[in-house]
Formats: sequence, structure tokens, C-alpha cells
Amino acid sequence: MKRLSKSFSKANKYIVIAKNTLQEYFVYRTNFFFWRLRTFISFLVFYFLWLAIAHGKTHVGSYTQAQLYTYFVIGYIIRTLVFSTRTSDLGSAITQGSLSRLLLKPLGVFKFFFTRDSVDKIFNFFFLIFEFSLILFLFKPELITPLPQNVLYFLLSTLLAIISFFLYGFLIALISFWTDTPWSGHWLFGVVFVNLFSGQAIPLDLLPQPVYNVLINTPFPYFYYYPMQLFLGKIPEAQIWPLLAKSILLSSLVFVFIKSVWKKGLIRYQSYGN
Amino acid sequence: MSVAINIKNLSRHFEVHDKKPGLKSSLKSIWNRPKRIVKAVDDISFQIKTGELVGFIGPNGAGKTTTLKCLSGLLYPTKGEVEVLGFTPWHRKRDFLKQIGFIMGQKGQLWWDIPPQETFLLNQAIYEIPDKEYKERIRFFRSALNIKKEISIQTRKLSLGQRMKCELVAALIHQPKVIFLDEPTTGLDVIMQDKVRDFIRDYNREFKATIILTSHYMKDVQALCRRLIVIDKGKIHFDDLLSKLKNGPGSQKTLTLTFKDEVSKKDLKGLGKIIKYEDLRVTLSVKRKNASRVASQALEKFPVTDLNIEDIPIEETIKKLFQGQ
Repeated sequence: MKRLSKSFSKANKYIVIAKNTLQEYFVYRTNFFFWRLRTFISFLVFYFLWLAIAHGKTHVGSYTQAQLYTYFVIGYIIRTLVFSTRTSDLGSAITQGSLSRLLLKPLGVFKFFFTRDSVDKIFNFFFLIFEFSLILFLFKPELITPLPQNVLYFLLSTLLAIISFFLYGFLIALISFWTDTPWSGHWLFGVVFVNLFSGQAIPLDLLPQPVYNVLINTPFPYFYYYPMQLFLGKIPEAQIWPLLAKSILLSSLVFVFIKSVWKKGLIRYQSYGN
Repeated sequence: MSVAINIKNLSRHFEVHDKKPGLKSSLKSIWNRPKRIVKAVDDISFQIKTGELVGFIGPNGAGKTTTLKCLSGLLYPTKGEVEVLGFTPWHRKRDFLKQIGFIMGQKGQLWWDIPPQETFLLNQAIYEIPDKEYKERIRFFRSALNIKKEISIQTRKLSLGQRMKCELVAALIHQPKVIFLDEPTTGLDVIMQDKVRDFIRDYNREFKATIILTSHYMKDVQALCRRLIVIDKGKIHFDDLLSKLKNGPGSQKTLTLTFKDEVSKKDLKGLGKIIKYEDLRVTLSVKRKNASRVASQALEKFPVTDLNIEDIPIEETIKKLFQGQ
């Protein structure tokens, strides 16, 4: 009983962090509105682009029209839940010295940022419901009806994508211990690489075979391409669990790597500013 | 009395890039950045006993904040040993972090966009303070610091003074045993400085907390600290009772003499160092031990209408210490 109450009180601090983070969001309503607008517009760009490409064709590569529209419309869930992250705040906290505020407390910095990231996703999720309904109402896209097990695989792989995207973001932020420009790493990883290589702009199997072969051996397809392939039922049953296991393994390796980089980073930490 | 803080041969060096002014040098720095080692703290040692309130002063860049950051575990030292409450700070053990508080005058811990009470509640959860105790402590702080509605106003909308009072609450709500106060009165008006000083003094007495205070205002140090550590260029120049600095062998007094008739500079030679020489008034600097003798000599030899003997301001004494005089 005592142990239970102790772990509850430990968890309690992260609940309060979540509450405070949520309160901050209500302060920055305009900021948040523009972020949602950006996500929505970037979805529209890709959606209309592929609508134009698929126009008058029954297939684009191995995709039927319905599969292609599904790839982008359902992918909007991933855009919202996976790619919304606050890990870049860690980079700024390291370079500006505000990380000190956290380091002085009996508090896990990793858990602190994970809590804030989770709140960010929950907040985004409520907007997603509204925006997703709007997309269905406005464009009435022709979507496929997935098999129930494919929906489950999709949800599981999206959850893994959320975790691994956070881990990679956290790792990139730790570069700030060695360099004073936290945004360059995030820009390169979060904007350039993820946009191009995760499959959110182009289904990766439509790319030339050599490029595809390289990309599927990187972590990027796990953020968007594979969850969507699972939703569309394009991955053979026998390959699904090994794929998910590989995703877990990659995330575990990144987690171990983060721990080691964090320790080395703290030794270099300069705690700028009084 | 037990030792709360023990530092042995602590050094903290930083690597900095040197860059000459101008675009040409900026371009050059893309591939060639000359580096230099700055010894922010250079082989210092001292001990602080439990419950002591020690002034830690020095000019900008002297190494004060770096030392405090090493003591609180924010910085790893380049070399040396540090023990605070029996812990090595940079191991950041949970039990250690629960017993320290750090107030950085320039960098607060309050959440900027929400009221301070939300930060207090978070700290209650972090430090696992039971509800009843938390309420009692908040009551205590509200009365001691005269805090009213400000705890429910967005932090960014508070004045500097209001914010500093709330920073004190946030940093002390868990009643830390060791407190690092880094320029807590900087930027505050005179009344608020007094209030913060009174609060620190009372807090130290009531909770027997060990406090290291850095400040640019000597008034803070004079009002609060018996012991003073003076640091400059990473080295400790003085570590003793403040009274010893004021009354030590090298300490000086000023003698201001007003004359009925003009007295030449030449005649005053031998009495002491002339600091100011006006028509009928002269200010001399003399050694503390010679002050009375010089005063009576002046009274005997010259037509003195008024005589004033004062301690040299502590700032002047410390300035001399920094200048190696």
C-alpha cells in the first residue's frame, strides 16, 4: 500500500506538469491555431497534388485511387499525432541554460518532456477530430474499408511511431550540448528528412527502387509509411510482427543511446546565464 | 557544528572561442576558431558550517555563479572535490536535490505564462509535500513576504519585485537545508531589497538553513552575513569575518577637516593621503589605528572648525582588495 502511494505521488508531479502545460496552451491560442492551420494546409497540398496525379487513372503504381486517397487522408492522423512534438524545446533549454531549472529538482528531464509531448498530442487530437470530420465533409474522399485487424496494426504502429519520433527528437535535441544551434538539427531531421523520407509526401514504393531500398533501411518509414501500409493491408501477415518488433528494437536502441548521450552531455553542460 | 559544504581544490575551466571584430574574421571563424581556456574557478577551497549565512562576493566574471553551479550539481568541475550535505552534487541524487534550493536573480523557475501558484503546486508535487503542510507553508510565506493577490496573476504580468517574492516561495517551499542565493536583490527597489533581506535573515534564523549569498550590493552582505568570501578571477582573496575586513590591519578611515583659514597641501603632508582638497575643506585617508592621533595633531596644528571621522565604505575596501592593495 505504501509503495503504491509512493508511486502515485511520483506520478502526481507529471500529472501537474501535464496540467500546467495544458494551461500554457490556452494562453497561446493563436500560436496553436496557426500550427493547426499549417498542418491542415500542408495536408491539402499533398492531397490535391495526388488527386491531380491520380485523376483519370485507375492505378498509380500499386495503389488504386481509393488506396491513394486513404494513404493521405488517414495519414492526417499520423501527421497530427506523430509529428507534433515539443522536443525542440529541450535543445533551446540546453543552449539558453533554462535546463538548469529542471536539473535542480528531483525530476526526470526525459519524463518531463515526454509528459509535455503527450499533452501536446492530446490537445492536437481534439482538433484532429474536428478537422478530420471537416475533410470528410468537404471532400467526401473515396476511402477503402480496412479489415479490423489492419486498423489494430495501424494503431499499434502509430503508437510506436509516436514513441520513436519522440525519442529521435529528444536525441537530436541533445546535440545542443555540443553545438549552440539547436534548430538546425531539428530542421534537418524534423522538416527535411521526415518530410521527404517518411512517406508523407510520396509513398516510398513509388520512388525508384534503389532509393526505396535505401530508405526502408532508415528509421523514417516507421513514422508514416509503414503505419499506412498496415492500414491498407499491403504488408503480408507474416511480415507484420517482425516489422513491429524491428520498430521496438530500433526505439530501444535509441533509448539506450539517449541515456549514454545524456550522461556525456551533462558533463559538457555550461548552464549559461545567471 | 557540522560542515554542510566542503570544497577542496575546486576548479572549473571553460573553453571559449576568440573572435576578432568584423566580417572577415567571421568568415575565417567558419573553418578556424581559435580556442582559449578561461579559468572561471581556479583551485579554491573552503568549508561552510550548517546554518551559516555566508556572503560570496566578487566583480562580474569573478567565478561566484560558477562556484554555486558546481555546488548545486549543475556543472561538473574540471577538478577538485565538493561535498554538500554529504553528497557529491553532480551525481544529482534525489535525496540531495530535495534538500537544496537555488535562486537565480536573473533566471527564475516560475512558469512564465501561468500564475505562480501553479508553480508552487508543481513544487508541492515534486517535493511530495502533504497538503496540510503545503497550506501552512504558503500561509507563512504570504505573511512573511507580504504576498497578496500576485500568486494568482500570470507571472509575466508581475513586477520584478512581486516576481522575486514568488521566486523565493517557489525555491523555499520544500524548506531546503542548503540555499544558494545568486543576486536575489538585483534590480529591486530599495524598499523591496530591504524586505527580501529581512526575509532571508528571518528564514536563516528560523530554519537554520545554510545559505550562500552572492550580491553586487554590499548592503545585502553587511546586513546579513558575518562571514565573507571574496573571489576574483577564480581565486579566493579573502575568507573571514566581515568585521575583520572592516577593522583589519590595512583598514582605513576618512578624516574630513574644515578649516577657518586656508591650509596649504604642503602643510597637510604627513597627516595622511589627501583624497579631496577644496578651499577650506580636506578629506584624508588614514590608517584606522592612527585615526585618533592624526585627528588630535590636526586640531593642534590647524584652525579646525569641524572634524568628521568615518569608516571607509566597505565597497572601497573590497575594491582595494581586488586591486591587490
